[in-house]
Amino acid sequence: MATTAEASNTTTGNTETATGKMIKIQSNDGQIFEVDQGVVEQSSTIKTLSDLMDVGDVPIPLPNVKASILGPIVDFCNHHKNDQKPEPIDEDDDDDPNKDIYEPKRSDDICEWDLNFIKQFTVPEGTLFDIIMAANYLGIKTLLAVGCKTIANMVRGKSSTEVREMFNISYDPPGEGINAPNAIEGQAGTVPTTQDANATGPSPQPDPMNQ
Amino acid sequence: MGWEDLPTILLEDIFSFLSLTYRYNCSQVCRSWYETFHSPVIWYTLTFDGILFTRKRFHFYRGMERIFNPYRTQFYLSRKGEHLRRLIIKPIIEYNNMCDFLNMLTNFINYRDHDNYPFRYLEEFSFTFYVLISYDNDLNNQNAFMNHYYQESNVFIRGKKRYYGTGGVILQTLRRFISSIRCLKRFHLNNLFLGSDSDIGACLDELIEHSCETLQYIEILNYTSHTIPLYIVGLFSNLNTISISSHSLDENVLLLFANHLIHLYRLNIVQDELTTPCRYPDTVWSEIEIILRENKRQWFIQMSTQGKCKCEPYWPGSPAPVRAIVYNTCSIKVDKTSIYTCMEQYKTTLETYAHLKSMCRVYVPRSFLERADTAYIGAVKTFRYLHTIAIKERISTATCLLIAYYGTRNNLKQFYLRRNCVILRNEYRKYLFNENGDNNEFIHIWLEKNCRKYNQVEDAVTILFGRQWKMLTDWEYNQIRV
Repeated sequence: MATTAEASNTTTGNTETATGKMIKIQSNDGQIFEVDQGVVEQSSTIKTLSDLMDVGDVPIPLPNVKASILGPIVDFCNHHKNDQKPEPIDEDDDDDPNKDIYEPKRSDDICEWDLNFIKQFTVPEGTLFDIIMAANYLGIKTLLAVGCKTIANMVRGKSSTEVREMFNISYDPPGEGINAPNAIEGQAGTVPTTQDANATGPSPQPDPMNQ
Repeated sequence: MGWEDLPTILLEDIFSFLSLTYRYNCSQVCRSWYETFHSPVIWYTLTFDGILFTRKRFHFYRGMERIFNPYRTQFYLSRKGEHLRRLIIKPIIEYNNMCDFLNMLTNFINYRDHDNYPFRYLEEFSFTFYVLISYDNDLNNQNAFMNHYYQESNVFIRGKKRYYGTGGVILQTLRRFISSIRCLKRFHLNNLFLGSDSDIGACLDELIEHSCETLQYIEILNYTSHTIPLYIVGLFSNLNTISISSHSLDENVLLLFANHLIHLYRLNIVQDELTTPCRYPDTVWSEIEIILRENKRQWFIQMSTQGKCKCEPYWPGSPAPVRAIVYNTCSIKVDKTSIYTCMEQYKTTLETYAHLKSMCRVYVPRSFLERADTAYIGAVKTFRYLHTIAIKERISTATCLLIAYYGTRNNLKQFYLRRNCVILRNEYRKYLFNENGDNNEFIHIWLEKNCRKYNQVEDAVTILFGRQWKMLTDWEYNQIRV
């Protein structure tokens, strides 16, 4: 009996030191979320805000984030707060930071939980955009990486028209509107439908380079 | 706010995941995306993978083939070449395209005058040769692959396999390119089969002319059937990391490294499918130790096995500062005797012991005596500075608890364990725990209580490490890097 009591004591002691005090954050539509230190650590914005303001019980306002977006983000951070951070080992300091540079960038290494997480946000409802913007605003690197990789995977294999349709980006025909190449650099630029020798960009041809 | 307002920094990130084609397509989407297309950040890395700058064409005899497109390459080089920082050439079977590409780069550099070097920011060049393999009983296959680029066929025979290596035009082209680039910081030259010192040495000779002082990282994996010491690596005076196959070293090369390379810290001795394992006399390590101690320097030697390597490396003798042993291959199983050997040799130095790349469909022994459980526990007890251990083979939950228990007494920080390999068992009921500070009865109760469920094990280890600890799924296990 004594050992079990001891064990449970150490468990609670551990969780307390790991989580620390709770911090309240408020979305722009007034909903308040309570998050622990592990979540705060992941968001550079919340961390600086909480350090700067030294808030007691007052919720930190986050005017750029809706409750419907902030909720899942808190879930995401809760899931990832126990991830092993690549902790810098003192002796290897001089060469370890470079180590990642040798690895080429890949966009297919999203883990299963993150894939399922990002699937609930879609382009037509605009939630995917919101979540990426919110992650950018809150400075959550892991979520940003997942978002960017997801978009890269969506865009890959599509033509510019398809991408434009997928993301519902308005397209002004060449020569008119703000997206017109003439407005961009004041010269005949890359127009997807014309072949122009002066076009900027690596290839003037409209067809994909590798068929 | 719509997708066209995505911040530039995120767009750059997205663009850098895409290949040139899709990058171009995205640039046509809208104005802000088009502007991002021209930001230098996304042009830092160029990977020539055999598809880039090529187009498909139908050949009457050979079927579909890829043809190098010089026009596009030219366009790329003149517009975006100046941003280039890393140039990676992947193993490509179309040697002619690769040669054309390298020639084009060389000519592009040589066309400019000397003061007008186009790749001012180029820091890294990585070249990996595509090794053709044919089987001896299959004669048709050989002839199909022999094309006119094989003036001297550089063949390496092992068992029934024939490996075709570099030589002739490919090597010349490569050397011409290497001689024209300057001020590199990192250089990789892999999978070359160069049988004589003059060939591989010549490649580096040309590098030494322009990058002797700037080079910090070199990776040379060269295959031969006999030992060829690469003295020339010792002449790059500012190297801090060397990755080299074991037969490119011998005692004199090692002494040269110790004496001449004052910044050298990490020496990665790599063993591969084709490497000839090499043993160096034990005395050389004592000499090196004296030299290093006199100059107050340290070496970090990593013994790694890669690719389809099947045999254990020859372990360097005792005073060798081996700090990491990494098996990055799925062909080697855990070997108890090799753990015991390492325990004897590297008691005071080893920091990392890892078997990466989980295996599937391989027989892993079930019985306790055949498994490496006790060896692992012994290793954790003996290696005082061990901070990372990765286990891919079958162990029991009780072993897992004991590894964490003894590991945290020393220095263990990272303990990676593949969940699929752990079995719920406690084989230590009759075992006497008599290490310094062990309370035999207490450990037995603790083991018995925690070894019956996976989540209990995880909780117990979490308490020991003082942070959340979980066993890894196979996918997660294959993602770890040490």
